[in-house]
Amino acid sequence: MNLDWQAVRVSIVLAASTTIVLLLIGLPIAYWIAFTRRRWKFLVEAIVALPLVLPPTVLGFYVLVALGPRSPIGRWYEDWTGRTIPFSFQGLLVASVLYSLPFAVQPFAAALASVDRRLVEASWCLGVSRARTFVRVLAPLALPGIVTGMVLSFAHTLGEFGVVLMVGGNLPGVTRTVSIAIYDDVQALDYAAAGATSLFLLIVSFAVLATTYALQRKVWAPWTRP
Amino acid sequence: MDAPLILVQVERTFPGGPRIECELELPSDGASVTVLFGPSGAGKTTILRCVAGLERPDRGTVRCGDETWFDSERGIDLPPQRRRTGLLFQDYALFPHLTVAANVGYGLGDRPEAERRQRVADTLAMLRIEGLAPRRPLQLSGGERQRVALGRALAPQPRVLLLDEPLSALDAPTREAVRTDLRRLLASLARPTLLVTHDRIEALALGDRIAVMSGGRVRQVGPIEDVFSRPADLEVARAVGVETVLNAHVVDRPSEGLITVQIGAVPLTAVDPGHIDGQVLACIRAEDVVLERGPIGQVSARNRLSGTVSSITPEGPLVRVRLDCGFAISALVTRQACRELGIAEGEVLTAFVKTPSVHLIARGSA
Repeated sequence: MNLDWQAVRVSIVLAASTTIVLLLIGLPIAYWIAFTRRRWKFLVEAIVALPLVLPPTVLGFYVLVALGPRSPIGRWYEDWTGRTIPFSFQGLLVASVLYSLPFAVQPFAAALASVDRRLVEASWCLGVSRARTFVRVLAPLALPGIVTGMVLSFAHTLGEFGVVLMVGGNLPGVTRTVSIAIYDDVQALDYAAAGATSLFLLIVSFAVLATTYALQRKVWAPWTRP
Repeated sequence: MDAPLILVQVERTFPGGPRIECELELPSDGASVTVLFGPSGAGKTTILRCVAGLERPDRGTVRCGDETWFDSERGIDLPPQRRRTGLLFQDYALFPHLTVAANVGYGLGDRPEAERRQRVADTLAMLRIEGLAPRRPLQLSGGERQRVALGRALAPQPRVLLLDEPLSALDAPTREAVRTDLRRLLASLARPTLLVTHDRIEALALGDRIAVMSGGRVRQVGPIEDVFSRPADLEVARAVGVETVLNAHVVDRPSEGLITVQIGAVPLTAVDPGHIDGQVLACIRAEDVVLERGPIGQVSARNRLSGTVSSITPEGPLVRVRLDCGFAISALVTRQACRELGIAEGEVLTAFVKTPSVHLIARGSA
């Protein structure tokens, strides 16, 4: 098999890191969206959903501008580490997180909002803090939605192309992901390699999604209210 | 009397909705159950939520003993975590992913493991639901869920118990059994309780004191007997129903299906509803009381009460006559009858009450 294992490794590490980062920043955003009573909540929801409609090139362009060596963030990062963000794994990670944000936040928020609010209030009245209530009541009851968001983030990152090309480029072992490898193979008329890698990506994506949906149906069905 | 345990004085307006005003005290002496009574939508639950800290009043104060829980002017608003009320939700809101034991122990998180386990065991034993410990809420009946929810609220030993329509989630046959149990339990807990209900029977069976809400305001507060037999105004009378409510106790079952209760020294005969003993409430609708003066002929009514007229209040086409016959009883008669009998304050009259017109409500063991 002429699979590009180096690209596979980059893709999986990127998808896993993106998923973890999205879990850490996506849950607080989703909690805010699910429970806030602010009128301008819709603006935040719209911003979170933007990557669904924007072409990846537009998103990639703004990330390049925002994190490039001429931007304050880019300069600060360069002073601190001596490296630049664009065309590095870190830069790619930032872009991936933004690009997959709606795939994590929307299922998270829907799952949190569907938990009976009185359960949360009951927990508060029993003297349990908001953070502990999240861990003991909200997270367990919203788990199916949280898992869905994580799986979608993982699968979506695995398959992204435009953003990777714009922000990451094509550095083997650093930013060259599976989707870029396939594109390169086709450009080089190496259809055997492109076919093998494509099939691999197809099988992995399908297996991840199928497992998740199967698990959700079985394990959490008894939790739904009568 | 000491300072009240809970003092609520709040206002809350919902945008485009009703305006709710409430002034309410829970006495600090012992274990009385105060019922917040009123029709659906009167704002009862909102008041309860304001006490628990789940709803923020627009204006006012909520105090508990010497602590201030809410004060709009001083900008104090304690979160529910620091008020630690024992709130029982209408549909119980048990945590579906936790066992009964974990639900009951949920509010004990800051205590050492051994103490926590002991407290859970004690609470389950007190409620006689030890056998349910490993089950999950979905595997419980309505009555069992209510007990578990009560256990969860009681385990951390809250200063005040707040019950929101505790029986409305149950089906009718269960409700009756659970009601008697709940009364007994509340009496044995000796914990100040505020209970919200729109059901008269529930209010009568569970409460010691009653606060009647109507049109977003508390109209009258007092002992159950007083409020039911001496409503402050027409609104209250309409909300509680025109009825005389008397504390009585069962003394005898003279013959099949009949029961004799005593109010002070006066005996009353009623139809035996079964399963009652000790303290009861005797309820007599004012429209079921017949008044007569002069020599008494043969009448079928078993209960004849002689007394003096203490007040006469016109109510539309009718007149409410209050008679003092060792206790107060109200009769509703037409203006015409009032004229023809020449009823005036201080007159001596006889009131007739038919046996089936005396409704008895169990109050659990006294």
